[in-house]
Amino acid sequence: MREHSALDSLLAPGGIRPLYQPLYALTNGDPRLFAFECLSRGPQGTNFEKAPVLFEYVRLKRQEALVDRLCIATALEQLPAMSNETKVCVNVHASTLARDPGFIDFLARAIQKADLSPARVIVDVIQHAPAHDGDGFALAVQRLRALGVAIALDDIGVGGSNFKMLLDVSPDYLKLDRCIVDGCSEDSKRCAVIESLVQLATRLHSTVVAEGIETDDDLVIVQSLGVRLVQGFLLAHPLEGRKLAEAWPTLSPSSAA
Amino acid sequence: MMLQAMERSDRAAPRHRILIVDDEELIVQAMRKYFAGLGYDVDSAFELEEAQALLNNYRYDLVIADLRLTGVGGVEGLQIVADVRQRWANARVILLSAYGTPEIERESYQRGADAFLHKPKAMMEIAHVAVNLLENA
Repeated sequence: MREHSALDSLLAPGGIRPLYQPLYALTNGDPRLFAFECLSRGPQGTNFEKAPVLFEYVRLKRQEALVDRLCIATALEQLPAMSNETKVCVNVHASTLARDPGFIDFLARAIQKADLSPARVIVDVIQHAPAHDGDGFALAVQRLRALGVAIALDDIGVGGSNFKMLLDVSPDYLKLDRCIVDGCSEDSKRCAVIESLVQLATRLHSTVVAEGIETDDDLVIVQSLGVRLVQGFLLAHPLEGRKLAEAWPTLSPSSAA
Repeated sequence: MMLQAMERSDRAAPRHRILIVDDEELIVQAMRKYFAGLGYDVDSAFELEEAQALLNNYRYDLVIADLRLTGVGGVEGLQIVADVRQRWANARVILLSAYGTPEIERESYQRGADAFLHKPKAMMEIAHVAVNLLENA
């Protein structure tokens, strides 16, 4: 039998590798750097190199809170220097917000340690499963607002996302899952869903982010449907902090992608 | 006969995907090497939850799992059989066990296992069962 579980290896120093993927604003036609999303991967050469497997495993182990904290701490510690205009997105499970009463204090300390203003931070709520503890979740959302960070709802269109979450959270950003976005240039049904979500977001004073942009045609279509924030391999792949710093001249706020 | 079956399998079904689940690292390494050498795509997991995370994200043609993944008394392999059956009706499952009682073996088949093999088994014997199951899937 193995002496250490896979969870031990994830929690060990270097077990979580942070990557940073740019989000772009579509203003005046050209994409302009808006934010970096902090992503996490497990050790190279293991199944946990792939994010869906990593986080599915973590959820099955019911260790979302511990791993969310570790991912955020690691990502913010290794965040390269960047323009004060650029925002930083960190991911957290809805269940962590609901069940980890110390999470918001932890987040506040991590933001302070990284020398970031809370106004530059977007907390991206992952909704793979219901938060269950509605009161704990509501309190956490309230405390995030008090901290001064923005809130995004991830996975819109799949999984545990639903209209009640929109009402409960009043998110600043709605992140449309790639399964809705990918291929929209060839699918009128996808276009209808995206257009209706843009209209809904406008009514809710929220901004839509289209994830999974991989073709020029999809980029043109989402822009025509009113989407103003985009992310995807067409624009930039996730990068390690070191490579991000090397690529900085092309990723600076004043440069087009 | 087995070699003939493997040769036919190589020609006809080039890239079946296999998941191997065992908490013994050496067994996993040996099985990965053996089945990769036969031309299959092979993934592996050491724990129940790691296997479940893979099954939730990828489709496998065959899962070969040890019955016991957590030391004394574990029967996690039965859960893997149930998970595979729930997700992929056509996938094949082989359970391996050094501790299999007739009751456990019966339950394995009731849950949908295609084969139950008692350890120790030579790699060739496991491969023989695996290739036949894949060919007849």
